Amino acid sequence: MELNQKLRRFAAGPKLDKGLEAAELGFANGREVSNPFGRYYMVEHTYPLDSYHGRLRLDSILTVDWSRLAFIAKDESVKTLDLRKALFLDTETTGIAGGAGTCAFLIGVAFVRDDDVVVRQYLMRDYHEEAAMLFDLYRMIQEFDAIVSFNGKCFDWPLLRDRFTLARFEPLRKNYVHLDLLHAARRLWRASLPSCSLDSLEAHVLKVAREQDIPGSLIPQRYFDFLRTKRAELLIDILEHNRSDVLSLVTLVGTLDLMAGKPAAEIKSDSLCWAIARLYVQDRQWHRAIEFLQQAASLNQSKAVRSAACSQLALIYRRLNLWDQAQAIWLMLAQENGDIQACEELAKFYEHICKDLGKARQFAKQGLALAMAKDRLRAAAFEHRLERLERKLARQEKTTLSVH
Amino acid sequence: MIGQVLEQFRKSHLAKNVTFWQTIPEKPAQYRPFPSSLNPQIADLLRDKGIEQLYTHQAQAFELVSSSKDIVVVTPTASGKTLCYNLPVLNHILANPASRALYLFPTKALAQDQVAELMSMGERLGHAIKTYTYDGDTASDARQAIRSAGNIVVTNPDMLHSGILPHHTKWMGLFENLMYVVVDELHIYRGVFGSHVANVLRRLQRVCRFYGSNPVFICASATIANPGEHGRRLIGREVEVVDQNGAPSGPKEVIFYNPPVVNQSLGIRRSSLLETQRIAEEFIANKIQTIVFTRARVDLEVLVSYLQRSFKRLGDLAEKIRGYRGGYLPKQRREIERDLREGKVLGVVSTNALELGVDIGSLQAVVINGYPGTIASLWQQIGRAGRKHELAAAVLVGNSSPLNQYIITHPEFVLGQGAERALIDPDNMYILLSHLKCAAFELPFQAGELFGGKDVAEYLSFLVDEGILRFVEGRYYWMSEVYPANDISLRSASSDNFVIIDTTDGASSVIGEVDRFSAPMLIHEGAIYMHEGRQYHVDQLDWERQKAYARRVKVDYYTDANLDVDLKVLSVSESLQPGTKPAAQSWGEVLVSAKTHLYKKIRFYTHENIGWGPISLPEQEMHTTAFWFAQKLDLEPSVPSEVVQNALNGVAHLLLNTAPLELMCEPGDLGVVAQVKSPFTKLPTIYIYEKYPGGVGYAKQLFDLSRLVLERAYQLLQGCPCEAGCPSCIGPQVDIDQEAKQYARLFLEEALKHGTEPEA
Ligand SMILES: [Zn+2]
Repeated sequence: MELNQKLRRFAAGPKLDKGLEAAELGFANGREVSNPFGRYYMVEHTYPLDSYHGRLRLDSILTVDWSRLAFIAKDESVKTLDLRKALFLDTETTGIAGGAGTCAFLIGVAFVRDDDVVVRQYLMRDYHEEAAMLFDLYRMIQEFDAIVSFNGKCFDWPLLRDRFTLARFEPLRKNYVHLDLLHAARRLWRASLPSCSLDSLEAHVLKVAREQDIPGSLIPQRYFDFLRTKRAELLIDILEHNRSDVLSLVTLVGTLDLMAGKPAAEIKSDSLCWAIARLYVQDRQWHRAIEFLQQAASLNQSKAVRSAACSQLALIYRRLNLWDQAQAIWLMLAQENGDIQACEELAKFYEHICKDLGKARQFAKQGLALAMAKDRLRAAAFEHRLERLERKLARQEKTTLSVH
Repeated sequence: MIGQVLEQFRKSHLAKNVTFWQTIPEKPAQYRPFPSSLNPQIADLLRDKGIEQLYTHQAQAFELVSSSKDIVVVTPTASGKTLCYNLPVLNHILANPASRALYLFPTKALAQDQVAELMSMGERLGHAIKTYTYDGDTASDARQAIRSAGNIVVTNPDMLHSGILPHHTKWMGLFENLMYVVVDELHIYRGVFGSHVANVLRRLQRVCRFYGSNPVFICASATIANPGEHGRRLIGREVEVVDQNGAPSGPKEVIFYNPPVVNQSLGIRRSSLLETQRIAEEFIANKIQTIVFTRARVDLEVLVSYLQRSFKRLGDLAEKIRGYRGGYLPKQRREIERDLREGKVLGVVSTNALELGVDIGSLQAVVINGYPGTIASLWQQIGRAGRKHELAAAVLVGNSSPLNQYIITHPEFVLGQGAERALIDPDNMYILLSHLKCAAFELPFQAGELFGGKDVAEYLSFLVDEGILRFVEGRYYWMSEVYPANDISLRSASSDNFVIIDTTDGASSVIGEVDRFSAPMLIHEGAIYMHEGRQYHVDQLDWERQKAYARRVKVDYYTDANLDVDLKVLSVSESLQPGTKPAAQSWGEVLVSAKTHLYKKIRFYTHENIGWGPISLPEQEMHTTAFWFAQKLDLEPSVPSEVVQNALNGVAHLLLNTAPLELMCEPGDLGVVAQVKSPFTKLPTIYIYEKYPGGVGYAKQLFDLSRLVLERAYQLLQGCPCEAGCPSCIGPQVDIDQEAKQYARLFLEEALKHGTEPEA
């Protein structure tokens, strides 16, 4: 054995990290837990279902129509989600780079038990506690069937599976239903919010107030500082941040459900209304889509949303053979906005449906004039259409003349 | 046909430029029957391909691998190398469908060739074996399938380093069942790149241990002098060398050709490019399928267009001449390869891209424009010529660099020892430290754990002090947000290179890289940077962001920065100081510092100084290893010290350009300093230092072979027909009245007389 190895092994002084007791962290509702893999720290808070988190009460989760959530999340399996078997999950990690060197040092989970929402936080007080912490989490996850997360499909869940692999646990066998709220939230709020991060949703939608919150990007360094100094207060706002995030998952589900359940008339934001309408369009629920598109257009908040909604409405009318309604919208779009697409639709409509070649020519000309400056390809298509119309018209004239 | 062409050549006036002509006789094949343990399905597949028995080396490789021995197969071009690893691997997977193999190739193009071959074999074995490439081009949705299902994963060391090992948990299926690791083109993994790759393989084995596997390593290398040693250093395990090649080869004429001197006093020779063209034309005009190798891309394009132009006159031949290099699109390359195999292409001009394992069949003639840099690659290129039983020819055309002139005039060097030694130093402090970070990221280190058999405790505690690792309860954990593999490139000579960006006509493309140490000299503002024979004017150097912005120009001058290099010896590792004799050779650790103050603009040909500019960039310091030798010179006191300095600079230039012969490296990997009176030795001294921080073993190798190194330099100087120095020996001398060449010769003579024999 080398000298420095000997020194390390036999002559090293007491280590800073040894024997850190629960009492030293001393968090409310916290305790040290032991299992065959060692020790770690757990914090558990219970929140009565009738308490508020932001502007919504936690019990809004009880009445959620999961097929509505499945609709927003575009994930059929969410329909079968059983709330009592669902785990709301959010992790705090030592970085976002991914790979075997990134670990989750704090894992917050929430679940409904009796009349409470329980938030349980698994914390490793140093690297050697990871296996013990993961082991209890691993056992607990097996009691549940579904995961609700925010960006967990890409980040938290694969990260945890990697950590389980590194701890040499057997791979999880169950096929979990996984409701990832990031995707659902993006579908609804992408246009109306500056960002769809959980922070932004909390501020603008959930109205969760955060006092002296630590920004997520500073969390890894803060944890490293804690490891070096073992000053418990460095962890306090990380724990709070994580608890709040997990509870926000609960009320975010409630909010999404609420939004999806509202009749169109009650939605007061045109871009939100437009986003919901898009979901119905994608799901081919035409009549629901029409309701929301009409509302989005009539709110008349932004020109872009209004004309997009109108164009979409006209397309649905056309599909449903409601030509009068479609024509009315196209005429409005062509006149008010100089909408090229509307001109094209009108030219087609008058040529093929009404057989009014004169009117068809009029709109083809208008479309060509509009497209010239912006869209060469489109302009060429209009030119082509015009030529055909002129030919048809000439033929028609000949026929008319010969009749007379 | 080819016999007649050679006969004419022998009789022509060109023959006087031939410095070497040797016939390598035909060598018959040596066979062995299929091993009894070979799966009958594979045997059938081989028979379908017309293979009834194995070459001896293939059979030997099969047996060794089957008994779990790590091997290095040394094979010349076109000797059925791939079967050496494919047979045992496929044979094992057929019997154990869950088992897996990892193939490493140095380039993506080689990997793709292999996958095509393996996939077709896999299909013929009833789709039982799935092969995938995993590289930067692999689509993200395909990655999942490869991780979980590929029997054979084909990738490159860079991808293993930055994409696979750091994410090993996602590759659990591979690592748990990994039976074989194939490392092809082993000789490419040398120098800095090889030292990095050796550490990547240490990390690979560490991850395998974690998942409970212990794969057998099957390596294949071109001919190098030390395949066993190199293999052992690279994979960190004992290896068996399989070097009795059983493949047949036809008779071959090997010819070295030295372009004639056209200006005796300046030592200028006729362009090797034009001579290459002339010789290649002779072959192609006689419908002999010919491959022309050239090093620089720009030469390649020039040669292609010259040859096409000459053959336009002969009718349809022009379309039968193609270029081939790495930058071409894969589809285009496949097409050229196929046309070569089918004989549709008569002449191909290639960079070393065709030197490696790409399958193009065998050609009848090879013309090599300039020594390719290593003897191993020279033989690989020569090996492209040769068909069973048919006569083939290989012609090396030398250029005027000292290295070329040495090779062309000393053919016994090439034929004698056969090849040079591949050197790596996996324990280079900087490289090792980088990979220890990656390894700690991948899996925590246990206290006392060895890495590649080496005690790394001091490194780990250093990283703890740096706050990057955390030591707790007997383990070192990664404690950083950083993904370390992203900051470490296996290929660039130094981790912090400067890039040169071409801004011509509003473009913004990277055209080259320069290491930090050379940046003040080569890419200072106002410098003329040469790239592929084109001139670029450096408009701006952003030191912080490590970027130089340059634009294409056509000027009649080049720039030469005055670099004041100072070298301080930090410690002497080994020394040879024969008694009282006033000479010494040593190698050890040094601190090289360099500062540039100004640069000169020098007109081409006349070498007159037409202007200068200041350079104000920070002084550079580098800790590295160096070889040096000192020699007392007894000169008249009247000889001015500038003349002595010139002579020493000349010797340094000569050594810088010939030392790579022993090192399998590029002249750019080394630097030289010549001191008339060294503060350390108190004597005239020449230092050859490594340009990579910490060094990768070149300095020690130079020390071990110092006599050889000095002898070669001396022979070359003696043999050079110039009067007072030329680019082929001590470098062009501005003032040819000076006696630099004479004193340089004296210096080397003295050094050889005194300094290089160990004491009796
Ligand atoms: Zn010379």
